[in-house]
Amino acid sequence: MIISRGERVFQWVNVAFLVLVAVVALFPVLYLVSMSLTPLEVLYKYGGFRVIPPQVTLEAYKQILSTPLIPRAFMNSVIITAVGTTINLALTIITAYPLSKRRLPGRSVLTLLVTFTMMFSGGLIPSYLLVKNLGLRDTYWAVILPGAIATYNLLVMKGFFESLPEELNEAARIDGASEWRVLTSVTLPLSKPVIATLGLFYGVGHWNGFFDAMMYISDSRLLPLQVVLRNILMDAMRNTEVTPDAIQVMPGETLKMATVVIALIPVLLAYPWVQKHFTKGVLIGSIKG
Amino acid sequence: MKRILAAALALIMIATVLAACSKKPEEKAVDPAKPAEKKVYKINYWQHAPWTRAAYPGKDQDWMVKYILEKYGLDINLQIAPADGADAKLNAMIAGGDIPDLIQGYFTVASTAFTQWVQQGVIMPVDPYLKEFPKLNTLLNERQWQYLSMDGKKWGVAPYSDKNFDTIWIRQDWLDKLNLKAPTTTEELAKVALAFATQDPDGNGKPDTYGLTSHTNTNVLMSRVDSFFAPFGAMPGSNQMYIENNQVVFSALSDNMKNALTWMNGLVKAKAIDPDWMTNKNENWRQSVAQGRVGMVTGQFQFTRESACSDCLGMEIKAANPNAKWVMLPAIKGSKGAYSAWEKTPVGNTFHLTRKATDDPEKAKAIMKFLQDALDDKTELYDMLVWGKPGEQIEMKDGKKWARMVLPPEQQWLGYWRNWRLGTDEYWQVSWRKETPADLLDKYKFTAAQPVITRYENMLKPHDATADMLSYMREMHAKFALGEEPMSNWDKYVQTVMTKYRGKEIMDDATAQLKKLGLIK
Repeated sequence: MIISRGERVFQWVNVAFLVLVAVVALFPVLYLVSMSLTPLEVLYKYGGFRVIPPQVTLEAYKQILSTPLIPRAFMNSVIITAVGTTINLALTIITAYPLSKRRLPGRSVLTLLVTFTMMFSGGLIPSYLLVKNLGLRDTYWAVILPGAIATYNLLVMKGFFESLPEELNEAARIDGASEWRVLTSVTLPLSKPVIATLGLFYGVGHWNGFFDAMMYISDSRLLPLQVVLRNILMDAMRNTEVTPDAIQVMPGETLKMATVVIALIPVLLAYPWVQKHFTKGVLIGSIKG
Repeated sequence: MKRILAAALALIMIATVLAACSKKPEEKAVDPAKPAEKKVYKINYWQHAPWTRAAYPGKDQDWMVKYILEKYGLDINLQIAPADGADAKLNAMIAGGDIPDLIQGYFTVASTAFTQWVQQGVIMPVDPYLKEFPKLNTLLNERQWQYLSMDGKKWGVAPYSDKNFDTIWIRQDWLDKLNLKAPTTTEELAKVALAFATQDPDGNGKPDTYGLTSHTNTNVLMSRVDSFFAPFGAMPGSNQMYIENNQVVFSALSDNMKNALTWMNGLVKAKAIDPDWMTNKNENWRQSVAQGRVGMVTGQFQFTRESACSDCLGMEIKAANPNAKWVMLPAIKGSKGAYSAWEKTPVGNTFHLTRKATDDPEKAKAIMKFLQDALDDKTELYDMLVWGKPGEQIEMKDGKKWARMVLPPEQQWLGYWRNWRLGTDEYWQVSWRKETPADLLDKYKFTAAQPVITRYENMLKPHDATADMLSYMREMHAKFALGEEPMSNWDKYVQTVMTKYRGKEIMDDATAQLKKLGLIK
């Protein structure tokens, strides 16, 4: 294939532009990591952080791992994400599947009810009362169960199932498969893109989850990472007018940044794995194939 | 396919078991067959403004809970408010019926939460208990009690707050180099600031030094400059109210403020003030001060202390500029008088008894007894709460107490129990014996002796027009200071505030409130 001159120029400009975008996107992360590795003396001497610090220290990470606060919060987040995402996906699949079948009686009414919840919700106090009366406070379930099916994700999955040809299911049924067998053997293997995508959405949502945990969990041993992180960061920015007579010990910048890096790592690692499914999944709803 | 299904199910089951096992272990029921007749009350203690964010080890590892249980019969469940969303959470809890028994925070008459709680009957008056526990009554003087009083009743208890910490710190080495005397009036202050900016006191040939700087945040236009403006009786960007000749004065509209802003404008024009003063945040303020960008700051007595506290810059100064010699100045004289700062809110953090506690009168009494001992520095409880276990965090040497003010990381959770600290001189003495040079106590006594201006706006219920008025004032003050608005427009500005921003209404409301409190005749 002979590439014309104009196309070649375009390609180079494209590459340059994308490299620029990549640098702009990566720079804050690089800065963050370098901030977490800079010792305090360098900070004081130069009056700020350098992009590549002249000296490197692991002191902040050592400090973080020395008290149970961060490791415990990390484990809480991991458990909530793992259990939560599994439950999310399981419930979303078994809810989306029947809704995607045209022969379901009352299908349009049910779909409308589901969509209704996307737009209206009870508010904070009713949610709090609900969680309290179910006895879910101070447990992981308070964070996992109330939002177990995200309506938007449900509709995406339903749309995907609808786009699969009905003939495949009919063929399986003719061969004697039960509905359940059709779902697991025919539909799900074809749904890998959407499951990966939604799994990523749910997973990242759980990992970043802050508000529910903050509201419903008071036991500090069960708090997930983001709440703990927020506590640490807000503590450092504390206005002396808020707690004027507290004896204030500030966590250093380095410590704060190290905590942020620790919160970032799992998500950074998860993305490449789901990457290949993700690009396919983004096209859900467009032309099949 | 079946294998994947089986694996997924197994994963769900394992994870479910894990999640269930991580549930908070059931609290052990208190042994009912205790030999002593003392009844045990379960208390939910909500800390709205905790003094630390360290990892709380959990109730069973917390020896303080056991101590309090043993001595006072209170089984305290410590509920720590999140750093973000504390108000939302507490409101949801109260609305949902989960009212804590004891609430800690900074809730005085001026806070809307306080007023709401009194009106809704969430918190209860403490007057009936003050008779039985008189020491709590004598903790505060009449003026201080006004911060907790509404409708003739007292709605909480609090320790008195600390004495003044702030004064001007100045680079003595710069004064020496330029052969200047320390300033004593606001005119001299301006001259010294100008000299610092123009005569290259650090001798490096670069015009990189200034007289003073500041930093800003969402609530305040200028921070760490109190001692420069207190002599004027006016702080740019804020509206302190004081009483002069039996009248309420809005400092933001007064002639004193006009003088202060003119003075500041002079400094801005002469470039004696760091041009970054409006964009600085706390972190770069610390950097520029430590690195020797400015010659004067308003700092606390512990400004040169080498510790990781938010008002201690000793470590940064040592690393960046070890030859800098910072000294304190007594209060500067200005158009209002010689003042070092505005007075702090006269009460420290507040403790409120809720209706959940008073539903059982014996429980309320038990809580009040605990509070009385906790806020009394002669009791064993106070030593335990504020200092820690004898032998571990506190020791007796030569008949004197020695303790650490800043605990090692694994013990910092004790900070959740320290809010009963009283602002006594002895407090600083005990904690410094172990870690810092003796002259720090002298520095504390120096600032504590400086005169401060009495102000009243922090005891008034806010008017709903206050927020808009304050943001307009802040904007205008910045404009006047920077010279974007000529001083000749001052009267027009005052008019606008009084009429368009309902300043007259707010002032009349403030006067009425202060009359009711008996502060104005």
